[in-house]
Amino acid sequence: MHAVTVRRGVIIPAAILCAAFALHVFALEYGRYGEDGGHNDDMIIRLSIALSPLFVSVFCFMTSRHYGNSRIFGRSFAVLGVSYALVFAGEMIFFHFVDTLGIEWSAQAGESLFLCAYAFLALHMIINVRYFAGKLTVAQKAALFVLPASVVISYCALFMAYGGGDIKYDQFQYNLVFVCASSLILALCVVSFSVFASTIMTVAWFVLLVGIIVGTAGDLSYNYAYALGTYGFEDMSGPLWNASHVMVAYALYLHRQCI
Amino acid sequence: MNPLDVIIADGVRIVLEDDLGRVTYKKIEKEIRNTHGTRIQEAVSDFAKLDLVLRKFFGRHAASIEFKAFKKVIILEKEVRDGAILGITEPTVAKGIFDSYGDPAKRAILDAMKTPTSIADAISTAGLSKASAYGRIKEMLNGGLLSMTGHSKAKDGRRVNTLQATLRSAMFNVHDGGVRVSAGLGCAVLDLSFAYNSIVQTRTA
Repeated sequence: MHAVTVRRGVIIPAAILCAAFALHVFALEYGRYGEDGGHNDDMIIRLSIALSPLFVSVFCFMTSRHYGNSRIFGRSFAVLGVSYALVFAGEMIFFHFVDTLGIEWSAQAGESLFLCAYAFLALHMIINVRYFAGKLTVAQKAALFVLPASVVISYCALFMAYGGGDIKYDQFQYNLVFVCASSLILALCVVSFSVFASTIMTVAWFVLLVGIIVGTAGDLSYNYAYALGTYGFEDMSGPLWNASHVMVAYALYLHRQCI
Repeated sequence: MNPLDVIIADGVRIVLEDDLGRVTYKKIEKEIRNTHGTRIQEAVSDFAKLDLVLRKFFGRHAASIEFKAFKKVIILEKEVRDGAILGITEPTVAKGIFDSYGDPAKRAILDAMKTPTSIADAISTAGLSKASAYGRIKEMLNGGLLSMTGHSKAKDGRRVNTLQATLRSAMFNVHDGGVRVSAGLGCAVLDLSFAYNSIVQTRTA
């Protein structure tokens, strides 16, 4: 493989992931020993989780504008921008209403925005795949069912095996909806990558795939911990989401560079 | 270059630019210039060149992109004996044909060239002055509405080119959104057309 391809597709995404975890550890340590102590010890992590989708959303709209709002690239990146704007809105609801003011019912409003964001993210990939591939192969269609099914089954198995005795099944079912949505996005991204695998956009779509995989891992980690009632800001879902957002932004940059 | 491909070239160029954006279109244009040393208009008329560059960019999906672009410009309305009726739906291309058939002098030339005819014979049949006819013939030849078919001997024994109207028939449907053309074309043009074969093959597949 070409050295530039390795650097862009493997080394930089790996560096982003490492940097996200390093910053997470730093933020936790800073919170623990900082002057504020106690109440605001997770502020950096909370802010980074809330603001990173905004950064991606702005970059998506800039990319859409770069492609002159064209029918395929312009429209699909605008849709991706809407998706991350919804994630940002959802995160802000959690940040302000749920975590700061403690209004628990507003969590559902935030979560419904996350579900809408999944739909827009799927639409971004569908627009691209429909234009470039036309029809999917049998293997690609199979992947759309097999991948989400295996992710969901693994999640359930993990939950049953390590969930302990006091499993809240209503919370588990609620979180399962998000796991299903997240795994569907993952499957769509794998199929999209297989469509773009032999094109000039291979590296950009590979980085996007890695970003989505990392984001899905973050979602699974969050839902698992939330369903068990053990979620906290020191959970690994935070750096995974942040790394995912930066990788998606980097994938957009690569897309702009290559075509 | 196939005359049907030349007629629809501008429409395909517009559709590609609309679909992929100006930046991507410029990159394709640059690659065509580097690879073939031609302008994109020529490469779009000579689709094999465009196809090569699109394959370099989009791999095997180039065929799907081309098919979608062609489908937005032409659709197969009906297959008839010795040819087909194509619907030309792209506004710029349809308007170009409409304008040519709307110009009385061009219309007279096209009517005179329903069969392979030399330029001199066509001008005489159409009853036009040479000055006004030559410019229009050149314009229609460049636009694909007229195509070279072979040679014939003039009255003084010289070998002269014969031209023929590319469209055997043209029916215009003017509506609020613009013009739509139903154009009849012969097998001689269709068989060698990259665009026609692309939409027919994909339809059959």
